[in-house]
Amino acid sequence: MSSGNKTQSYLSDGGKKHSQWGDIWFRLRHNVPAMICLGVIILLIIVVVFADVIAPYDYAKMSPKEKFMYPCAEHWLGTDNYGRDILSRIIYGGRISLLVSVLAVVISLIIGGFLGVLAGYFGGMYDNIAMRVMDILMGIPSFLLAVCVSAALGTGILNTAIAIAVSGIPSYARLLRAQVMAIKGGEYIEVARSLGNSDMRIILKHIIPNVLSPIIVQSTLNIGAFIMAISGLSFVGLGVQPPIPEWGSIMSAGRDFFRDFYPIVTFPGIAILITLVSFNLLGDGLRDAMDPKLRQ
Amino acid sequence: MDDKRILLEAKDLKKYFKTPMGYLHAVDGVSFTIEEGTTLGIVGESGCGKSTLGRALIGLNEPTGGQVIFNGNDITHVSKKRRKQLFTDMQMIFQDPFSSLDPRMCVADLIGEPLDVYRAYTSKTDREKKIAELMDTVGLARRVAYAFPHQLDGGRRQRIGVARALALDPKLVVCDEPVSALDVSIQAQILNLLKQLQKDIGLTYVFITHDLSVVKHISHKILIMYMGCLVEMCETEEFFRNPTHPYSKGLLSAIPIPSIHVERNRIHMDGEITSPIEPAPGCRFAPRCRSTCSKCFSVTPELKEISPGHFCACHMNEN
Repeated sequence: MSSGNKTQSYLSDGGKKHSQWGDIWFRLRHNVPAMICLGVIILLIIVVVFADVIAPYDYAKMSPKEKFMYPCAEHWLGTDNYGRDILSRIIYGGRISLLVSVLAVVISLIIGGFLGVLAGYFGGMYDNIAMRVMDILMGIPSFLLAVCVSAALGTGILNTAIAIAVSGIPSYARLLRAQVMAIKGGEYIEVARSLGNSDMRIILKHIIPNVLSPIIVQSTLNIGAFIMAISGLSFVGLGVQPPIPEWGSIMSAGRDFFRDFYPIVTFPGIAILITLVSFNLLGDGLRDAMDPKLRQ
Repeated sequence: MDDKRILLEAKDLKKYFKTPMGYLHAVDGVSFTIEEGTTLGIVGESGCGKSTLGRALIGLNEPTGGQVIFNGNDITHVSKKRRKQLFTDMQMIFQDPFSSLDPRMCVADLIGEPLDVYRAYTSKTDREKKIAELMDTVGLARRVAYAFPHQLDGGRRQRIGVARALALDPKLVVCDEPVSALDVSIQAQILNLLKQLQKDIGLTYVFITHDLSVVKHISHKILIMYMGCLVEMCETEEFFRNPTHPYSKGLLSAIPIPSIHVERNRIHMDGEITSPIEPAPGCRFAPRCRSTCSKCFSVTPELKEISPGHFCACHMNEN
């Protein structure tokens, strides 16, 4: 029971201090599905980071003799219409899909979160202005918006991420504004004020920790939605440029042959599916782990 | 008692809230003083402005009019920086021990929060030592230091609230119905704790409650409020012996007596509280009062000293 830490001697009388993150990790560790998903995600990250070493073939090397091969010993997942190895393309494609979607989630979370938290906390005029801007953004179909931004900024990983992120900003802003408004009325925020906390400190110490759960769920869902959006952009020629593979673009290239030749569409689809399920379950697990009321 | 220094003084304090129908007069011209080391009980029914008054005193609500004088300084309108500094001298204990604690902070962090806000301790060990001391002071076992609020009962939670208010060694503590959310047995524990603390470190309390038996137990002076106005103010003993205002009499007669042999003539108050939004001049209690004259409906009664230290706002006393 004793923590063995000298600085905690005054309070460690029978109790045990876990740091907040240590506590979350402790609870997460006992959530089997979440841990499996965490393993899958780590594996995915390792695979895409070391794609150069792991991928059996060059993703762009065409060999017309070997086109439309079904899974076999040389090409585990078959080859596409140009004779390129599908497994290699999925591995390299994961780089773009994961990087861009995570980047887009981070960008939209930071901007949307910032706008939403301030709107919810301060209210009034600022709230009105920020939320009307969000309404305008929401009024434009998100894909059209991404196309516009992407066309204006040009192609490339960061630009694609920004283009996708713009359409995700309003949902974060709305979500956080509603959450913050609900928490702001709570008595412990008033207590915090009476203890002399500044607004900044109240937001950072009391409001943000209490709105983390919905953010995590929303973010993990968004990663999936964004992977699809990226492939949409690539499809109209504004996302990642061929021959660089990306899960969505591999699938859209293969859809012409889907009726007669399934591997081009199916295997990237399975990759997306596994990624989505892993992120969602890990997100659920994290949300539960971060709630001290569920501590056993 | 007469050598006691006046710690806090309210002068004609007003707090109005803007509503679509006009201004709501939550606190309307309240004046009183509190001597150092004593307890002032503020009593009144729900919605009479007790809590608003308490909040206005420590500056959580900025008063619309009047003055708050603390230790001889006017603190009604002060800068943010000065206000923050003032919170080290005046603290508040809140009503609901369930919603007033951040569910994501453990007990030690909740109690230590004021210390962190004011960077009172530089070393972690000193901070923990102080937290441990505070926990001892309020009677919290050290083993719960890393528990979360939802794991504790109401009494322990309220002890956290008390410890947190004491962390910065304040002079004045505003207790906003600190026991009304607790069981009677726990109420007694918390009240005795507060009394003990007053004895040990000379705290001054403003004790807001609607429970007369609580106020009898803890306060030296009582202040009765009705719809934002003071109706009566005197020493606690005097109040229970000789209530003067018709509203005070009504309140006292509502205290149940645990005996079936006592036949009592209870004073029932008829009617409802009139709207506090833009109230008409005249005594605010008049529509529910048993003995009124025409003056009661036209002239607002002033608080007058009817005997030394006993103030009452009623026209009927003047005859």
